[in-house]
Amino acid sequence: MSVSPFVTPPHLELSVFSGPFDLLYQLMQKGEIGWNDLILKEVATKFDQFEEVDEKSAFLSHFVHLAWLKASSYFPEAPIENEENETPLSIMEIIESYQVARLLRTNLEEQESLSSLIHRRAPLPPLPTQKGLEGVAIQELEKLFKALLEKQSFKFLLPVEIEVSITQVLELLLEKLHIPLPFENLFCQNERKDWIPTFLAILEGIKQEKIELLENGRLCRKEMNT
Amino acid sequence: MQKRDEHLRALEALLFVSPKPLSEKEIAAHLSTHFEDIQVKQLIQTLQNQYIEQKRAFRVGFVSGGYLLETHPEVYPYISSLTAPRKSRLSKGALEVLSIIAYKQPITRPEIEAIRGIDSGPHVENLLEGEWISSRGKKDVPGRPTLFGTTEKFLLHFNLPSIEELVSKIG
Repeated sequence: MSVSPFVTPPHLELSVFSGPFDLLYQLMQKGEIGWNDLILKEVATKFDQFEEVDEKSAFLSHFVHLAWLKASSYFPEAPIENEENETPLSIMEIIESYQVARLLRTNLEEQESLSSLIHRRAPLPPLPTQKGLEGVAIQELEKLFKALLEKQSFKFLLPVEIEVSITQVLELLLEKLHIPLPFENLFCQNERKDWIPTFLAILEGIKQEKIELLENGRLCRKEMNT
Repeated sequence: MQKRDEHLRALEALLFVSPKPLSEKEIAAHLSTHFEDIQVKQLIQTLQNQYIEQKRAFRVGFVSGGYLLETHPEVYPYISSLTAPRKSRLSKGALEVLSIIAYKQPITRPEIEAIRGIDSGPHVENLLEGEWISSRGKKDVPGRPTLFGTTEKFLLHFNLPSIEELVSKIG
């Protein structure tokens, strides 16, 4: 709520104050005249003193503004915001930060060149945990795989009956792989349900270094060999 | 074999096996189960001195607040054929965003953009995906934007002992 600056503030003669409206606002905001000392009813009675329409409208406008200010003084105070969080970065801060960041970038580039001459052990991939594998701990998987190596049934893993062990499948694969074969050819003759033991057998063969995976380039055809 | 030599062997084995930098506290915790009165800092210095005196291929590095074994830069030509290049493949823009985050962390994306004067969203996304930076909670301002900070990977890759060390170099 504001008062137009183009209207000359009307002059007031009150019991606590004598002067134009704008001076009254200033004195009240400074606390030199208390909000409780100002009686709006007394101000309202001064309306009749003004005869010109412009003066009357200016008075009304100022009166409403004064009433709003007085009413606002009774509102609870707004909590003070944390200025540090609210204040955006100043131009000087932005310039300084950018200059430092540019220096840092150059520094990082140099540091990377030096760092590339140094080698360390590669960090190990994190072990799957109960959280990572939706409730399956790595020890449980190991136990399961050991069972699959020897057991001739996948019944406890799959809803279908597969009467073969990974060890047996691996032996069959090794027989097939006396010549290099494309990866997908190891699967094509089997039924879909046989894919799982075949794939696990390939992994086991690679782990035992009995099977080698050959790939001539990135995303090239994969071949298996013994 | 003297007691101190045995301590040194144990320390060397620990540093060799560990895939991540070990702090003094962690080294002390590991060694204290086997030995008493371990002075980790002195032990590390002795091991480092031995490597220097004997012109060994290894040295004890101090990165991300911990110690680890690393090859000496002088032997790089002999191992370069075996090792993959350690370039970050970060663009200049991404590196600039990473520098701002390193310097002003924790910092929000709008603050990064205010400093750079351009949209930095894709760079921030890429840095997050590459684990160069991570979320550090939310800023307590309207909209609660995410705060970002650098990760251990950042320190390890750029061979930095700490963020303070990096900032102090240019300060």
